[in-house]
Amino acid sequence: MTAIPRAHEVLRGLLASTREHELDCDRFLELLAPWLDERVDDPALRELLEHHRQQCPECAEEVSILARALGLAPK
Amino acid sequence: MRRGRSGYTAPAGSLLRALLRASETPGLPAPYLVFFEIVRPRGLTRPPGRPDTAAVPRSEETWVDGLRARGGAGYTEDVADLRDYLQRTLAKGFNQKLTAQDLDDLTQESLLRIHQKLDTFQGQCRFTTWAATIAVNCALSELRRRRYQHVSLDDAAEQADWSAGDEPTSEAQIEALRRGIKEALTERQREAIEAALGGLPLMELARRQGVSQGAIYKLLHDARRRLKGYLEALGQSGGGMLQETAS
Repeated sequence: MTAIPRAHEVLRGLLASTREHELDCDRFLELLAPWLDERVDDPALRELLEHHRQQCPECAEEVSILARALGLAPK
Repeated sequence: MRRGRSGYTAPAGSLLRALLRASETPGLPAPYLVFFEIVRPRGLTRPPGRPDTAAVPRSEETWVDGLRARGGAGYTEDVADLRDYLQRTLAKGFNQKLTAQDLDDLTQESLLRIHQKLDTFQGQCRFTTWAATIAVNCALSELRRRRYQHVSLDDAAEQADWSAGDEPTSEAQIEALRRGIKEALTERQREAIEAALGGLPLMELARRQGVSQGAIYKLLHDARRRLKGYLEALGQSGGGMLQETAS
């Protein structure tokens, strides 16, 4: 485990963008394929997906790998 | 050894070898039989001269119906095409950095996972995109497990860097965060947030606790909300502690 960002910087960033209601990883992953195919019509849901991507580095990594694999523009 | 239609040859992975040994056991459970139908060597060998039909677009229904129709005329070809697609997808997604052995094993595991989840495909996206998300998630899960399997929660927590660095953050603010973790969170929340800040993936935390990644995310979300409330009660929000930082 190398190059881990400073804990207080990560935590402050997460706390600042913490909301009462957020998508969890399970729901994010359920919606990921329709989102990548641009078939999520609800703008509020798209915004929740984007917020989760910013909050969760692991899901963000998954999106990044998929975008590369599928030849999509990076989200 | 398995030989694909492209001539690519790779040794069978440990999981596959174990399952192949198990296949000789009478009364093999149904999931294993499905697995063998997917990965058995003859199922991976396309007849010579057969075109690469993976390049031919299929409808979502055609994909699903084909993969459900075990024993059907096109089943072997559908599985071989999906396997080729997943292998190319994983290779490209991981920037060609997977070893041939890993690529082969992860492709097989992905195929099995897709087959198990086939009934959950709802047609809200392309079948190939859906399959790719499962394959990448499957691969990341295995790679993260391997990387972190010997890292304990305490070890991970110790990796967290609480130094101030160049940030204009006062020691008092950092201390308030650390005190909040100790005082405002449950033991389970504290363990999880400290391990996550030390770099342990949520996926790995979930695997160890036998819960989903979403359950760990919810645990950490509750922890963040508690911690935020704690800091606001201390009056830290006005001092820039909770202002959104540029990413």
